[in-house]
Amino acid sequence: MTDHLLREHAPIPAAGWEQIDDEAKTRLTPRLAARRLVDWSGPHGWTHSATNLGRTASLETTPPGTKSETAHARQRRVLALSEFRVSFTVECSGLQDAERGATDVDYADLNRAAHDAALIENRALFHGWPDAGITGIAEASTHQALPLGQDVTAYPHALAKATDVLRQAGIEGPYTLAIGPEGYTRIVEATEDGGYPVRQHLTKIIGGDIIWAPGLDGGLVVSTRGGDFVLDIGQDFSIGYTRHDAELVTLYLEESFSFRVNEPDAAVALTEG
Amino acid sequence: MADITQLILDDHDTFRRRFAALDDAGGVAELRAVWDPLATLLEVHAAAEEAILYPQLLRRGDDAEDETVDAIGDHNDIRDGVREVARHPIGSSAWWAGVRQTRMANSDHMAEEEDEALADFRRNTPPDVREELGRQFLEFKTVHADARDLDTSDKDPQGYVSTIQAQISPGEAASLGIGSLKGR
Repeated sequence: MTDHLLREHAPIPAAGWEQIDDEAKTRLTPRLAARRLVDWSGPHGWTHSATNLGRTASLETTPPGTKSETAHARQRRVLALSEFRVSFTVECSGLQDAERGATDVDYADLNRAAHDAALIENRALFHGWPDAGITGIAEASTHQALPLGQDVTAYPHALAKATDVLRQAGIEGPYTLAIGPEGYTRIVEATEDGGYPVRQHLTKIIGGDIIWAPGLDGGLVVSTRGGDFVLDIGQDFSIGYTRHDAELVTLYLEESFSFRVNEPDAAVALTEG
Repeated sequence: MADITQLILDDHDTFRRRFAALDDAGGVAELRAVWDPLATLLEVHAAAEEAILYPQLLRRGDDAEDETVDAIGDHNDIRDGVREVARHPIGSSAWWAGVRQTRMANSDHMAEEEDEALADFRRNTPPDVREELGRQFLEFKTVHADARDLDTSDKDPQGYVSTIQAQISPGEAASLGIGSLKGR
């Protein structure tokens, strides 16, 4: 169902929509760090409202006026999908330039919206979204958080310890390190005494990738073997139309999703403090 | 379990080797022993791609529509060649002409598919999805190994694309198409 996006009502020519969609995808994709760690279900569309948890809760009673002595009632438990929209504007003059073939139209506000939207998804998956009933990977972890600190020379020891914790818990690899932007920068610019890049050393320890993860406090070592973390998507990132005047078109980035941790043992949080 | 793009490359390698084997085959029996399984595999491979690869490419690829239209057109050319071969006595000059027609169409298709559609698909599909599709590809080839129950008639390329796009779920159709990034 595309109707709810109302794209056909926007005064945007096809060339403009193509540029806007391409720009949004280009700006969002590198920032969606949590998606690089988790399994995926969907997209199921805008009308998809809940994730089946496969669980039930007992109901104390049966409907009024019925006999409940021999009846046992249960109610299915689901995790409702949450949705969000991040508004942004595009200048009409820029859209007209796009129609003329311009390829350098300024989409600064779209970039800002892509940053905000990616941060919402990342924070929800990494650290949870209490109002939405979502528990993040870091908060769900059953392992004690390990200190990572800011001294990059100590990172190999911290990662070796984290991977050992996962192995001891029976969690197979490959393992991936997700780390916030500041920690990531520290890693990529550092070398060890012999000139060997720290990044390569860390990659060998975990046996997987190191991911730049905006929105993540500290770091996470996560098994990416599959089945442990599931992002259930209703409407994947889409752009809809709100209104326009003579100078600006107001649009929005939209997503609906739920997230669940199936195996809390499959991640170890790392703290910078 | 290999991912679907590796399995397709494996089939392409088999095609190249079996067409080469025809060059060395002598006599009707040898030609039949090489050609018959090759013709069947060409049919099954094309049908498997149309059932499993291209519907996913249309969901994920950057230039999927053009790549799919080209591929279905190429499959039609290959199927036309196989049918042309079947119309003539094995080893006759008309039979060899049909084989050459099929071989050229298949070589063009493989080069284009490897450089464009498969490259596009790899860039946009995580390894775990490619593995799962690889499993489905192998299952399809096993179930339809003799090609007898397959519809091997030509398909309208644009009609095929339209049919698949109509099947793509609402959430996919309206979105930016970012999808899963696991493993990327």
